[in-house]
Amino acid sequence: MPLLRLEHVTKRHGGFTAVNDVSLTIGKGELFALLGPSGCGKTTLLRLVAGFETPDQGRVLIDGEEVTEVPAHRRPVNMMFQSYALFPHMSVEKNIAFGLVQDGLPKKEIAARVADGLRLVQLEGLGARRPDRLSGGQRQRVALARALVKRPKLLLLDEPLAALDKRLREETGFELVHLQKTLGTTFLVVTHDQKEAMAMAGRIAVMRAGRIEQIGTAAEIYERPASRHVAEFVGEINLFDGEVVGPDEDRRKVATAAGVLDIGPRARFAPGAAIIVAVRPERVVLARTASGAIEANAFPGTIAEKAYLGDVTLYRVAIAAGLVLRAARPNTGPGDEMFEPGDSVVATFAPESCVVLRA
Amino acid sequence: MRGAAPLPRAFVLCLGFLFLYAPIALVILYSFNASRLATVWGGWSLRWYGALLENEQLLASAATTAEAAVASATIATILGTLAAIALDRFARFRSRTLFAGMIYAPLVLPEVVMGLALLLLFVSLGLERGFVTLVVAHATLGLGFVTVIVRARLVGVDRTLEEAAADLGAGPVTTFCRITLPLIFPAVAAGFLLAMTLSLDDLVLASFTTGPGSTTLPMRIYSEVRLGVSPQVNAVSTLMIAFVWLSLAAAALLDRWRRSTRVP
Repeated sequence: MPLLRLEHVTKRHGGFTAVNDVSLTIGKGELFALLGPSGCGKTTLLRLVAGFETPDQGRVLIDGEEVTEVPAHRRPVNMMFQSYALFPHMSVEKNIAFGLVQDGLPKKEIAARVADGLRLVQLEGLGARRPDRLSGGQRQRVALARALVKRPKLLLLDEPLAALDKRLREETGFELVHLQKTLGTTFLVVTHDQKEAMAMAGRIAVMRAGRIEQIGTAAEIYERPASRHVAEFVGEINLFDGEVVGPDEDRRKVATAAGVLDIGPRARFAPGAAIIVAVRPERVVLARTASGAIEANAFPGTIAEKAYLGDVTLYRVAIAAGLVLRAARPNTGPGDEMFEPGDSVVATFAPESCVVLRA
Repeated sequence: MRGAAPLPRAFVLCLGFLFLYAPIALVILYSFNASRLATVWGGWSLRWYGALLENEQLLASAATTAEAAVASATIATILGTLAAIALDRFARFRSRTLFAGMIYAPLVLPEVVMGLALLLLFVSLGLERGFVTLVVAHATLGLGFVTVIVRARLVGVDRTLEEAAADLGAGPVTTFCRITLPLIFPAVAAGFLLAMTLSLDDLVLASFTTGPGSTTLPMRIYSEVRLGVSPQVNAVSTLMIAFVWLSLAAAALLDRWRRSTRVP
């Protein structure tokens, strides 16, 4: 049985539709991410699950029970807020104990669970401190412990890493995943950072303008984006608008502004169909002269810009018709061939590297 | 004024303070006057403070004033805090602007007008004027001030704290008592003190709304002064000044505490 089920949920704020007919099912023990730009409705969706807002249409079910109209304080979910929302007038211990006190647990049990919670997030010995005497990373851990000691069926995390500095972010992300696996609690994470979502989540829902555009694993979303928006939002990509030209048995050719592209055997696209061809920069191969191994999809051009980023070097290649092709080359060692702005190159990519989207 | 010479600047400052505080200083000074004449200096004495203790009329008025101050400040604080919460935390309800305007009206309304309005109200309701009507009038006056102070503090209290409490299983009442109230408490206390001070030194509203047997201290002083300034009036005024100053100092200290417990 799924743990969380949203059925055709719609939420409007005044005239603005924040969440538009969203249906979603999350299973027990999943680490699920809602990914999208700010204003796409992901936070509203999270607040609908938490119970801070009530949908205008649709139903919310948690563990098989309908909770659409149940207020936040009676739902078996807990939330870690983006701002952490620690109570400034209470010590760390009191903060963590707050939810347990509301449940009316005996004092001994509360003390034991608070101690467990502090150990879980490695904050032993800091229980007596006030939140304003903690670092950002420590506050994040207190917020996490406070939500987890209630042993919720579902933990909601609103931009859990956004307020941390960059170095701490990656480490904390891995810790969250580890914690989730250890506890087996279902996590629903909201983030605008595609790297964060891809690193942490088992499944990702990409949202845009109140709707879910695609649900899938990180690899599925990256390799086989379902729409132009998903392709552009998750990672860098080259897009070519074009039209399928034929006739050509099962292989397909696409006429684009950059020339005719070969996208390999893809029978489902009939000649005449308007499509978008998408190619990731790391699939673009750069060479000083045409190698001859790949005859199709070769674009002579000039290096316009170069950015050395350590692990990869990014190039922008000016090709025909004023178009710019992005290419990324991994840096593997001192012998790597580098191109400089102004160099003449040939950019190629294999037909199988192309992702085809409906226009 | 970096370029100004220090001496003229200090002189101007002294003139300013003289203008503000010389009358008050004179009242305090003459309250320790040994002479029977209120305006002639006859050496130091505490005799008028002693005489105060035997003036039962004056003592009764002081008691009435204190009781009315505490009662009206309590009512004003409770209602004013609730009004502040309604204005800041509730979803924009219809007639919110009208509600806010009515709450804040006593802040800008001339006291004479307000006193007259309350008098007409009490008369048309058939209420006998006395202690109760006095308390109602003063609570009305203080309410707006409490609302202003508490609302300013509420704006600074992050709403997600209340959401977090709800998320952790606390109902609305628990959330208010354990999260919201502790965080706005300094403002609530400051509002109480201000409402009390307003009630203590009000003459106009009291003249309109109180009745025989519930004469307040300011009214008593005012009527005695009309017959000639008695040294006892100086003494009782000094005590009132001391009390009001202490209250204001307490309010200022609370305000400083409020800032130091600011929500991060």
